[in-house]
Amino acid sequence: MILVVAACGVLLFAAAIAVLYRIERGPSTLDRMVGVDVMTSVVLGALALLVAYTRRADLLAVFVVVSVVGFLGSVAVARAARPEDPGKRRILTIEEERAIAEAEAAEEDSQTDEDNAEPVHPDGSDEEDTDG
Amino acid sequence: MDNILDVVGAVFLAVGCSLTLVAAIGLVRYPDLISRQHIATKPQVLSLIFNLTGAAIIVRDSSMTWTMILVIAFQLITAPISAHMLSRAGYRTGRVDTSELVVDDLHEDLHVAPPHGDNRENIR
Repeated sequence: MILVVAACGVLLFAAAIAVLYRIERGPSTLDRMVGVDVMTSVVLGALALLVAYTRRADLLAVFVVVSVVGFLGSVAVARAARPEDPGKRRILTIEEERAIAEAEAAEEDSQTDEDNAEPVHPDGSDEEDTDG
Repeated sequence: MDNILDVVGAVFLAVGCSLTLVAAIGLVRYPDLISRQHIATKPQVLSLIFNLTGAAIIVRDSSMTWTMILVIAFQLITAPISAHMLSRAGYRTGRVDTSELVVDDLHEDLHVAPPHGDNRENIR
């Protein structure tokens, strides 16, 4: 029995590693959510192994709760999915973040300069005065 | 008799864990969202059925067995729902390469002009 449980544990561990790789790589939120679904299944399998090895019957509620939470999580993420910009699919490095922040700051500076500039025709009557 | 049942339960657990590993390998190797959805849903549910049945056979407790049946039934209902919702959300948010699809029924629903009075675009 211990041998079977150990072998199954190794299989589940390898599965969990593979699923973690997919969750890390993405590339989109929905791919990650698919990975989380499979991870829920891995957790349920590990619980089944634990129950089979120790023969305890007090973990029943955990099975129900884990399966319900996995379902609700993926449905919630699917509902909240939005179209995403292909350029924003990865986390930026610190240098890229800094460059973007500097560009935004420069843009704000130029805008405030325009706001503070002297109006060309303050009362709208300059040209008429010189003509008349 | 107990011994035989233990062995049967252990075989169920081994098959279930192997199927979980199959699902995980497929999740890593398959190229896009739809095929990952496919590999993540079908072997996952079957592996869950095998795992929980194996545990129920080994423990042989009535409340255990009924709870396992409940969880299996719940998974059989919810796994297609969540898979469908994730794939549909992926399609509608442009994460699916539609040129690779053989059959594309959603394209007609989404991009061909609906008849007058149809508010289908409000349904997500």
